[in-house]
Amino acid sequence: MRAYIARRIFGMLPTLALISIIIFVVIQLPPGDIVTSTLDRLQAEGVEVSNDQIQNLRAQYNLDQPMVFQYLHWIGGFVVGDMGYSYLYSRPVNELVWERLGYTLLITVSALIFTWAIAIPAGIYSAVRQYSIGDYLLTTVMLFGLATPSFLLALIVMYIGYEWFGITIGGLFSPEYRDVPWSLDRVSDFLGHLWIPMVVVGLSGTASTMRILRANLLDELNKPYVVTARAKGVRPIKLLIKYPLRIAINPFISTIGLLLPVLISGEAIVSIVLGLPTTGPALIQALINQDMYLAGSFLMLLAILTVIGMLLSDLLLAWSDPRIRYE
Amino acid sequence: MSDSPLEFDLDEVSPRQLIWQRFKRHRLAMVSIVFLVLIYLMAGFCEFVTPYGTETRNVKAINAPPMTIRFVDEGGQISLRPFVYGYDMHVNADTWMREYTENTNFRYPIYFFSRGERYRLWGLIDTDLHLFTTGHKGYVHFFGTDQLGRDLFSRVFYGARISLSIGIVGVVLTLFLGIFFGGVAGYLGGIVDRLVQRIIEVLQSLPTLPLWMALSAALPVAWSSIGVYFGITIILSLFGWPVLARQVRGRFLALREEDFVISARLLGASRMRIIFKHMLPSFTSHTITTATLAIPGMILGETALSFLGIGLRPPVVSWGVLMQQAQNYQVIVMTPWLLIPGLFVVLTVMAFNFLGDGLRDAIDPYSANREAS
Amino acid sequence: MVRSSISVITLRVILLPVLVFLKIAGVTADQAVLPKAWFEPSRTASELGITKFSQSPILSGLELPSVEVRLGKDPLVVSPLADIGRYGGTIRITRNEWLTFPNVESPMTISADMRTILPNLAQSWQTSPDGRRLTLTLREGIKWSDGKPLVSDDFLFVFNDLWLNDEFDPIPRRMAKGGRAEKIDDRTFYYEFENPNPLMVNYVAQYGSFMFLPKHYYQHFHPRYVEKEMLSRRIEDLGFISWMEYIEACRRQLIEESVDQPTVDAFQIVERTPTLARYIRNPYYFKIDPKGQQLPYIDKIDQQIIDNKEVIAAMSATGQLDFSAFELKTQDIPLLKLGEQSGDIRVLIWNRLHSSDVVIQPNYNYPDKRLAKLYWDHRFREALSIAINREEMNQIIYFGQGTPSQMTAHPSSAMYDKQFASAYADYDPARANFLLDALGLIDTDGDGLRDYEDGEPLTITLEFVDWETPKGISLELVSIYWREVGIDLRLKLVDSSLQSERAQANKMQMTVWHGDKVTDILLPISPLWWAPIQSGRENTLWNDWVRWRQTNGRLGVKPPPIMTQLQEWADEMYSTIDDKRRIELGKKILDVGAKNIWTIGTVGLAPQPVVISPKLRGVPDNGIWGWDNRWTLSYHPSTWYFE
Repeated sequence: MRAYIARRIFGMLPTLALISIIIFVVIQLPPGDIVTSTLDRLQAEGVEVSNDQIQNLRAQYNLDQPMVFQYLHWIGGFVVGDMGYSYLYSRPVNELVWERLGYTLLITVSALIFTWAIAIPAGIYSAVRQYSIGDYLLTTVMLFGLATPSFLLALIVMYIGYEWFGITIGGLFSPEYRDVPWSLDRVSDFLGHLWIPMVVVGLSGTASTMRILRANLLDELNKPYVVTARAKGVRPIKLLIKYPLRIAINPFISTIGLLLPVLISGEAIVSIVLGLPTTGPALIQALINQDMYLAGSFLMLLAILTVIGMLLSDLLLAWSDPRIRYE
Repeated sequence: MSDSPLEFDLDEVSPRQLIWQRFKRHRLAMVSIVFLVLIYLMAGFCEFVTPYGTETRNVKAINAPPMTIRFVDEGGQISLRPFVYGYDMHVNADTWMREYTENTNFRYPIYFFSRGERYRLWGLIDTDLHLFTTGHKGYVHFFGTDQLGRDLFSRVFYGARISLSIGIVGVVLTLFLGIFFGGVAGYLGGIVDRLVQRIIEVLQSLPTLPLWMALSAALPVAWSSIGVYFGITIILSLFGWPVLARQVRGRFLALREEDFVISARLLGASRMRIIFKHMLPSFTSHTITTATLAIPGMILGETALSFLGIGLRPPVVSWGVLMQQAQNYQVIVMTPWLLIPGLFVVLTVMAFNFLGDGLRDAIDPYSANREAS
Repeated sequence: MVRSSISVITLRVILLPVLVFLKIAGVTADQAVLPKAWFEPSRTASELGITKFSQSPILSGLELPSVEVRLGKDPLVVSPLADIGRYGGTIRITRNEWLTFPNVESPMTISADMRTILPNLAQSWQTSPDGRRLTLTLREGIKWSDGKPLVSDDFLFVFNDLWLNDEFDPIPRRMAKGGRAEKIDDRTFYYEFENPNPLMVNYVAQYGSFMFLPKHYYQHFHPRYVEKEMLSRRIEDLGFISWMEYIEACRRQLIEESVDQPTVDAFQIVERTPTLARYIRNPYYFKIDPKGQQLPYIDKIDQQIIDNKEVIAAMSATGQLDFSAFELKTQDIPLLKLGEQSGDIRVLIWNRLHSSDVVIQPNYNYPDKRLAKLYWDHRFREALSIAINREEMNQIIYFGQGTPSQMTAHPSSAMYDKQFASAYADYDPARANFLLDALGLIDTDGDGLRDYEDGEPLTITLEFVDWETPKGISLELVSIYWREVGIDLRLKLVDSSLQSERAQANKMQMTVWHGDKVTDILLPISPLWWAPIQSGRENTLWNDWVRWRQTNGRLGVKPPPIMTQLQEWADEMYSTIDDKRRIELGKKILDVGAKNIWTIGTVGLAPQPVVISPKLRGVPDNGIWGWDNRWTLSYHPSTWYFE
């Protein structure tokens, strides 16, 4: 087992190196660079900018250096925990990331829990009552969540939240609870706002989760041991939970890691629509403005989280199924 | 082989018929396929199906609500020919709202297969024949109009042509990439396999949205609409293939050891021949299912890019472009009919999913419904 | 008070009845209800015989010097719109209003007539007869929010130590080029330039709030005042990469540390997080109302930071903001008016000052010579202009409440002429087609769009930023109109920083910006729409000709004679000290512009929604909105109050 873990961790490194190169290249792809944003800022205050002196600015930001050097500079800092400096927000990236990442993870994790809380019971029901009206109904409702573009859903839920529940638009807190110390009231206000992004981000994943579970469960339910147990008079619910469900849920473990990038993309769009202070909008701003350190470090961080997530789920699988270790 | 009558009966039924029999049992899939055929037909012939072009403006009806189709007029008279009443527009000086009231003095009958605006079907056939118009006077807006007074019904179907074809073209590209990489990795194994595996791992570790964004922003500014269309399609499929490639690879690994492949190899068939003649056909059905389930992702991807302002752009009309223009609070409160394109996206995506489910159940009954992703 | 000898503009307007202007403007008769005092230099307490002063209740009990001491020797008296206000309340706005709501103070300010310069922090100013030197005298006793006096050094610091510092400004800004600032005493200093610069006073009136900083705070972060090594350690400890970055971020209130800096504005920032900025009244603010109460009336500001404009519109409509306008557009009015019915908000309809909401700019120096040559043909420009149905645009986008117009001066300007606004602005697609045919642009491949004579398709790509005015929807209409006469216009929405870059690099075929800089303060110093004198993100008509001028022929391309003529006129308009001559030159420039259609205008002077809380008082029902009058500044937001 130990050898397996070591091999896997070692195997992550080339993947991460490749990811970092892709990120760097992709961010450099669009035309323009951070200097253009600086020019823009100067012009907004009536500064006249001349083309001949833009080079000066480029030098200030190290943009006149060769690409390879710029890459090494960035990744070298990243490895030792210095994510660089955001020219867009005029602050260290580390600071920006930590203050936003919390909300992002909170929304993402709660969305994930929401997805499972809805999808697992629905999947079980659909499998047990295959081709019943309930099965069709549930499948349709879940698919509806998948089929509605998340920005549209966010907008509609925002409207409903305001019209029916009086939830203020924009942000994660009502005005009176912004920037006051945590209290029970503040927590409940926060939860009152959190459910909108949670539902919207979570709904997009329920359909596929439910479908996988339903299919896996159906496979198991037709197996001889279940038929035998049923014939022997084991109570249906107990039987279901004890064996088939456990096996049917197995594949989830292997996909937890892969869910993260999907949820992050969804979260970004939803946060833009709802005006939430999470990583998503900042990442998109950084990409648009080619704020290399912010965008690059953000993406790199997410990629690392994903790779670790995949590793953990693999380890979990290996632990539960020894055959994998020796493959 | 056997003389049992039952087996004999089964021999009469071709595998294709068997699949069709099983498919028919999935009601939602049946409804979906009818819906999809219909909407693809309407998108294909959208110039004919719709009464107006994408840029025809009706200044008398800006942000006008959908019209009611009537068979009974004010006086209770029943008319076999459907008709609509014209709108009176009035800008309310207090609310700044354009208020529309039906004016029963203006009754516009709807004529089928009638003459209207000139257009060129597929850029080839010059005609002015439409499925329906109100003739040369009046106007009809089933889905209402947008902020420039353009007929939403017409725009939805012109948009369908773009959005639906992006789905198909994108999936074909994805299939090509997926089968190529997955097949190569699965069949050759070794270093190639490990390399492809790694690329897949890398692509799956990154959120697609930032990658889409960066790539679309890199599309040259001066590209024509067609160029942007293909650019966007390629970007969408660039990140869709890993899922398929993984499945194909798995299949190849399994098939490599199957008797028929081994015997082909022993008989001295070339690798290419083995791959294309023997292995690929054996999972065509599976591939079709996966492709069906991948199309909605493309359609949704297009709308997401448009939402971020980096996808297709006017004058191209796509569902994403239409939704992007309806993406604000004001639309929900005041002109909700502008969300109709969203409804079409939802219905189409759901239909493709049901169709995919049905196909899988029908083609692959034993590995019941297994999602391979 | 010493009045400037050359601020003839000021004198003229005092002589002319305000109502004459209103008639010329034809914009808003309601301006007549604005207090007369808003059009005149503010008076001081001693002039009005005010001797008793009072302060907001939230200040009592704090360890502060008495209000008399804080107000200084002779505070400035500002009249409210109608009634004397009352203290209290927190106003909820978004960060996007950070320059439009808080009373931003400058040495001089612009009157509500948009042509008169009024004293503010400076009690007087004087331009030397040769126009090279502008001397300012600061009002006595004005203090920063930490109680330290405002002194000449605070202005010298920005001009000499920042703008002329080649680390801070590798690119010397136009305002500072060839100049320096010198101190006479603590309250008197001057800017001096190599060349005559008589309109420096206009710059100070418009950009003055950027021209000074509390030196006693910022010098701790400047290499001239701090030893290099210590400075870099200090900056590093704060987490910044350079002192320039720190000063910029702090000044622009982007960082937590911004709360440490003193201000002379009505409000000082006390909290800055990624989602919020909070302000509280500046206890040393130097303005009072006619009753001797220290302004502002409102105690606090809560600024929420929201990136998405649609969310801001929704928040405005649902009564979550007490003042909102910057991100609102004409098309939002019905939604806002609907929100008004709930009683949570009031919707005021102001008037945008942009002569044209959209100024379409062909790039005459575009590298593709064929396209550039086409642009340069008067017939082509005329065809493009008259192919646009401005009346229909006005109906569709502006509810018929805008004014179809070419890009010209604002009606309040002495240089305005109705003829300029209406030149080549009537819809005539038949003539447009005729002109395009005459140019040899015929549809050869049968796709309904015109091609060059050799059959190569004619396409124009227009890049734009969707900001401030309704550009996206306007351009979508324009592209339809143009396609109807066979011109293939492709639209590309870009980010504003990308627009800057592509403008600099001369890569854009065509672009747009909103038509501000149209009043008597700004037009004479930058007639950028009508003469090649500067280029940048807002103006991409003629980069090469501008560069030729800026580098004395070293770079760029020699402009054609008519452009040289316009540049000469613009130079003279800028440097003459004869006011009549200036107006005459301005009219000449505008006249040539109107005849030649350098840019294509659409609809201007359009309705601008301003959403306020129903409890907010003192806001004019009908104001003018835009950069030229700094949005609300001439309506004195410090006198707005909650009922």
